[in-house]
Amino acid sequence: MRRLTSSGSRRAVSPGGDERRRTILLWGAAESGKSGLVGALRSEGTKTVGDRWTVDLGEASPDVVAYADSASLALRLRGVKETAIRRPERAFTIPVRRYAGRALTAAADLTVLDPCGELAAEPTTPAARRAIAAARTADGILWLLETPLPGGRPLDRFAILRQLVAILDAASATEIAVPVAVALTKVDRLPSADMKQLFDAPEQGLRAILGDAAFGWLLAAFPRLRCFALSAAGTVRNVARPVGLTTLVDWFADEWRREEEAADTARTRARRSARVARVRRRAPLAATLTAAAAVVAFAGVAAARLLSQRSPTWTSSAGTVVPQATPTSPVVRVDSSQAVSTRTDSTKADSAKTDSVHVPSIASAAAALERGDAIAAMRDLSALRLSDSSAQRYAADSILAAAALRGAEDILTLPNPSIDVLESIVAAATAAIARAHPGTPVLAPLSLARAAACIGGHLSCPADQVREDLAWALLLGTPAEQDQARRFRAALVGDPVRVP
Amino acid sequence: MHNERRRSIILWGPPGSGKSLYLASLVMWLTREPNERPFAVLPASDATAAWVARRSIPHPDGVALVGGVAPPTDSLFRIYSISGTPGELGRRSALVADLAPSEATAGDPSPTRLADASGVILLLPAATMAASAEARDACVSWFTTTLARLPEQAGAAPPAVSVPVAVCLTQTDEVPDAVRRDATEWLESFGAETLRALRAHCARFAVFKVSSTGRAPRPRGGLDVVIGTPEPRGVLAPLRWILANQAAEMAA
Repeated sequence: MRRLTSSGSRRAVSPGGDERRRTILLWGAAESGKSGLVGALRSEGTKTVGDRWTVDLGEASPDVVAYADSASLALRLRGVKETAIRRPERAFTIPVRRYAGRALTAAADLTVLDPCGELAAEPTTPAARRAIAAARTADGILWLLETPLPGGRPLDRFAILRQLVAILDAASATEIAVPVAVALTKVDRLPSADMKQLFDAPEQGLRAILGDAAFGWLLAAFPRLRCFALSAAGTVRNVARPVGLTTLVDWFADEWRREEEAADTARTRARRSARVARVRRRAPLAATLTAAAAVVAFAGVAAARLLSQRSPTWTSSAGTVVPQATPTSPVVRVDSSQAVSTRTDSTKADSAKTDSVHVPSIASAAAALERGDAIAAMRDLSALRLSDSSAQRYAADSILAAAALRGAEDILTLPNPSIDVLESIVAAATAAIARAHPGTPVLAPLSLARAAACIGGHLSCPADQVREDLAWALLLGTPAEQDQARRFRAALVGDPVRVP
Repeated sequence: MHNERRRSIILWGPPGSGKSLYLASLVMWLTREPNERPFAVLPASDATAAWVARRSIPHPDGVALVGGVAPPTDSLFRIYSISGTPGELGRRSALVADLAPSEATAGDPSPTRLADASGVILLLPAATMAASAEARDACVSWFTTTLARLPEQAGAAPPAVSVPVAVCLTQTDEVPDAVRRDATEWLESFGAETLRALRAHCARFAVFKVSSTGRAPRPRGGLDVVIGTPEPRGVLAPLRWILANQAAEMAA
């Protein structure tokens, strides 16, 4: 199974599902061609050859299905029979998919914000403002403008200005930074020479239609503007053969891919710069910390092995046998109230006392982690009282990050995961995150661990916190941590679409 | 989105100087000028957009100008620099300044706005001043008083107003030989004190000729109608000059 990606329109979908699902917001006044676009996407679904974008109505509500079907029918019967289009009264979102032949190559969501064009007519009403605010979270905007016929009614420039201002106002922005395509629709109604001219040079066409000032508004508000000409119906009678549709939606996918590549490059640069700066600034300290952590971890593992080989250690004296306590670590003090799990079985505790006195330490935590007992490692670490700025704390939190991550994974694989343990993981990771200096590498595994414990769905973690944790892991993490963060993010999004 | 703080350009003029028409020309009628970087101007709110749009109505012969529409409070416009091709980051426009018609009717911009301004545009109606001595005296008086109110740089020797001041003579389309006239001499023709006041107060100033509609409106059925599509002339020149000064200041 391969997971569907939403970017990279002309490449095969990549495994891993590490790319987010993108949303195109469809905007336009009444009669601007929104229904035609949806109908064209619906009609394209009947094809099995060629590159095309289609609409997936598999999980759509009946009114949306009726809308797409009636819009498709209206396209096919244009000029033959007047077909009523049954427009939903509310906004809706439907998946659109790109196919190359039979192969699915990309997907996105299409949000039709205003099927009836009522908001565009009155974009400043409170209801319109609430709906238009969706532009803030869209990954692209497709704005349809009905191409005026020669000698016909020109486009209402003031209406366009009001819609623009309303979109910026609702987004609380001075510009919309996502890709915006302005498409001149219904170009098949023009004389063929004019239609060809619009397809060849849509921007010049739009500028000529709107004038320099109004075209400037669009460019000002949408710095990543691109103009298109579109015929949803096409030029063949009794059939819908859209012209310009695939190019139009492909452009969004190309822009998103370029965006992601630029972001990857920027992240790599930032990480490299941060590493260089960190190494320059903290090389002596880092070397000391690393050495200290290694020594402590090694000592812990060695001690654990020794204990496992020699425990219990006996000695004889005057005919009686008494257990000899193992040496305690000089580093730590025990505070059972801070332990991850304070509900220690008294029998076990008693038996431990008779065998050996277990003193939590960084070393014991490292040893526990090495033998695969992440929860015990966390319990040991949480029992320590260390200065937040000490090297030991840094080492402890590094082990805590690894233990929390492994612990969360271990717990979540169980048929009945323990909520208490998951909560303790989240609490320990949260405390460590609060202690960590902003931007330090330990934040990545800690954030990842906290997100891992939350994503199982057994805790009611704030969604913003989980997203932020994954973002930190993606930004600061090692390649392996980034991969894991992407997997978590995909699980969080829960994209149900899978490709064989 | 740009997070840096933007400085405003203040638009100021006596009543009847053509502020609203100037703003309408910037928003509604800008045309591309060859070999000049294009700009676009957007109202910051729906109320401001409606106000600017109401300044004119379609007319069979062109565009009819409608006066007497009060501006909304705190109206603001945004000036964007635009380009034909995408830049380095794939962007084709950038917000460069705000334009605030500051208390247009009262003619008294707030001191905080003035202190933060990156430039001031002062409008003077050339045709009205030429036609009436009373109007000329009133406008010259307003002009000299206004210059005296501009914030001075503390401790600076005169001229102590460091903010760039663009003086725009409007209604130039109503004067037949406007093209041949020198803008500074034209201003001085309304009274030598205008230039004296400018030189006394302002370290950086320039005088521009502006026509918001490109052609003088003609009376048609009780309305002032611009025949055909308005083609503003010189309306961007003062903005370009102030932005260039601002850029030079930042570079320094």
